[in-house]
Amino acid sequence: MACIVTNLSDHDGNRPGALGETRKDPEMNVSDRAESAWSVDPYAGYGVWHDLSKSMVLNRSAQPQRQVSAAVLATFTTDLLIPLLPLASARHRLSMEVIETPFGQLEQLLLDDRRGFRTMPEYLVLAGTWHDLRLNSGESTEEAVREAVSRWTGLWEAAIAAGARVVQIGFVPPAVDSFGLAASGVESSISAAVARINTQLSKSAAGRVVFVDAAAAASIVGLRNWNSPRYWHSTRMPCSLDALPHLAALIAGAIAADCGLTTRCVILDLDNTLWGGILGEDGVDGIAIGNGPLGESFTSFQHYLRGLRKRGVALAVASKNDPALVEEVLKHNPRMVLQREDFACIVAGWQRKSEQVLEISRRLHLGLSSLMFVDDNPAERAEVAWALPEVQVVEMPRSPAAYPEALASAPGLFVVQHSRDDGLRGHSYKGLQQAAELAGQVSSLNEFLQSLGMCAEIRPLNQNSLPRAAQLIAKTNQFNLTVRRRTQSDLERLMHDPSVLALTLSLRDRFADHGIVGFCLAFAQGNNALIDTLLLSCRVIGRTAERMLVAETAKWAAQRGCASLLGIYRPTDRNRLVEGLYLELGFTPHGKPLDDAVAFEFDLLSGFPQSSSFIQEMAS
Amino acid sequence: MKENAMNRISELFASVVGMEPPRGEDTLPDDVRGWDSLAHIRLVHAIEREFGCELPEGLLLVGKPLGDLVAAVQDSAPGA
Repeated sequence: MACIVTNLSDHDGNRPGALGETRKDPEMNVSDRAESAWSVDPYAGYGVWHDLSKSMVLNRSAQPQRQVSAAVLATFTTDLLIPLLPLASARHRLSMEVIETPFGQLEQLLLDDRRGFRTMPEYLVLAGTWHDLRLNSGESTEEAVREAVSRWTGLWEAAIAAGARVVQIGFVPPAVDSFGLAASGVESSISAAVARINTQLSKSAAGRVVFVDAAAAASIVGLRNWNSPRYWHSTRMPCSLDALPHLAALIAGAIAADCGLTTRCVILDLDNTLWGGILGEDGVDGIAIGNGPLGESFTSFQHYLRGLRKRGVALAVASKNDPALVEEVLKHNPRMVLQREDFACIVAGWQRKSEQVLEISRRLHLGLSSLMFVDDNPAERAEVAWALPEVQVVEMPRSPAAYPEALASAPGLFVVQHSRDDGLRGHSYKGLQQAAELAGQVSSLNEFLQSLGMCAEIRPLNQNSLPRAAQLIAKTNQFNLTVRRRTQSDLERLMHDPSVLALTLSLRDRFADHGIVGFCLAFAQGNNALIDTLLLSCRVIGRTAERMLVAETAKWAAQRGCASLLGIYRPTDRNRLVEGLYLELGFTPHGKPLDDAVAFEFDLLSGFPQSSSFIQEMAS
Repeated sequence: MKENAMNRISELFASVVGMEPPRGEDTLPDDVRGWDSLAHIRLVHAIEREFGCELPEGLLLVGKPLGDLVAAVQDSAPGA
């Protein structure tokens, strides 16, 4: 297996050391070790992961974006897996506190009130092995499949009711099946039964539980490398030690993706990254794309990237090139797979790459930590990694044929399930860019907002919008007044409570349909109504959409006979943007500021907060 | 040959358990505080990677003296 480690501190452009060297070099300093800690690949093997986990020190580039608590409830031994989880999480800039649990005691911990958790962790990771399933090769598997699905979905219910978000690790089939390669077509084979269980679990998980397709991950590594019958027999661990970093990476990746710690935009170099050769020297028709083995490698990479865009990841260009030539290639080279409209933003010029990346971040309104930088030139990579440590810089292989694989295994592109609005997002970023260009042409902000032709739809939260609302709550840091991370099961419960108002807001402008980008949750209590949660996706900050949500909430509160509407601001290190929001909306300070929050009041007897005059409301 | 394997295994032992085996090949788990069942699995894994071999099932559980691991490596790995 290949050992891949990137060393981002290497900004002199030297080739980073191989992993084996990292392990054996006693002179290596702490910050170098820490750099490798968050960029280490699961293929480096258990020994390396164990050693790095023990010596893990996080430096500035590994500053966590989010902290979670998690427990792994498994039907097998997890003693060797658990210590790898903080390292696996650090790769996603997630700080994970792992609560240890005894193995095999899932029902006891989740169903028995007297023995459960002292404090429920935010995430419960559930995992089993095919050995639990009571499958006998060649005999009817129907009963066992039904039993397994009902056991695990029953555990989900209990975990959700206890307030945790569930991550279900799918079952990995055995490497050896009595029916050999025919197994998938034989209903009574163990492999086919495992596949049916996975399919049914994944279907029931949709929208409420994060399902991780571990069978797919294991097939990439190879089932014989992943499974280990002898460790199962001797220590009740179904997989090999070298599979543990992969399993840890799956768990951390699923939780990170669920928290929104994912790449929103891939920033690409052009020469020798998107095509072979140098545009300025070889000319528009001379670059290698779609012709010969080299050109075909770049074609495949472009196809992979286009798939990412369809998946909802925006693409951008940061290139040291003549902008006019770049436009010409995109418009006139017929062998290019990626077209002009596939890119949300193109920056071509002679400024440093880190400046180009900043420019893209600014134009697309995307935080640096949601950007991934892809460049074949190690010196450019090192410059960006050094200047902008928040940006994920992908270590690129020499061969362009291996480019797609390098991106596919980058932590930021880890994906678990497709949420409905994700597909819209790539278009939406493009729309943002056009909107930003328009902003340069109109004289005032008001004129700009008018010219966007915005339409919003405000609807009560429902089963369809529930997953997206939960996702927004988990992800939103900037325009979030209270940063209360209410879980999907909290919302599901509150949704049916008549004293609770939960609203989603979808926004469309003449460039893009942004999907659901706003959420508001309010409680009515006697004479008052209280806004518990108010947030907007960073894509639509500055569009006055929050006014619609607050005005709608005020109307609801007045209808329920409330005399005043209360709003709360709880400062964090990332939501200073909305510190003065309630004052801007005409609220007045209410009571004394508390330790961690400030309250504001709007007197509903004297009127309502003003709605947005730039956004039309669509009839729902 | 045998000494060479023992030396390399002693090194692996020290990196996993945190100390040199105090009684050489006669070292038993009871002699070393850190040589518990988890450390033993890591030790077996390290030995198997180092020598490119697979140790017999009977040695996966902690209990046998270190010399048994050395002997098993010599039985199964031509390069030892």
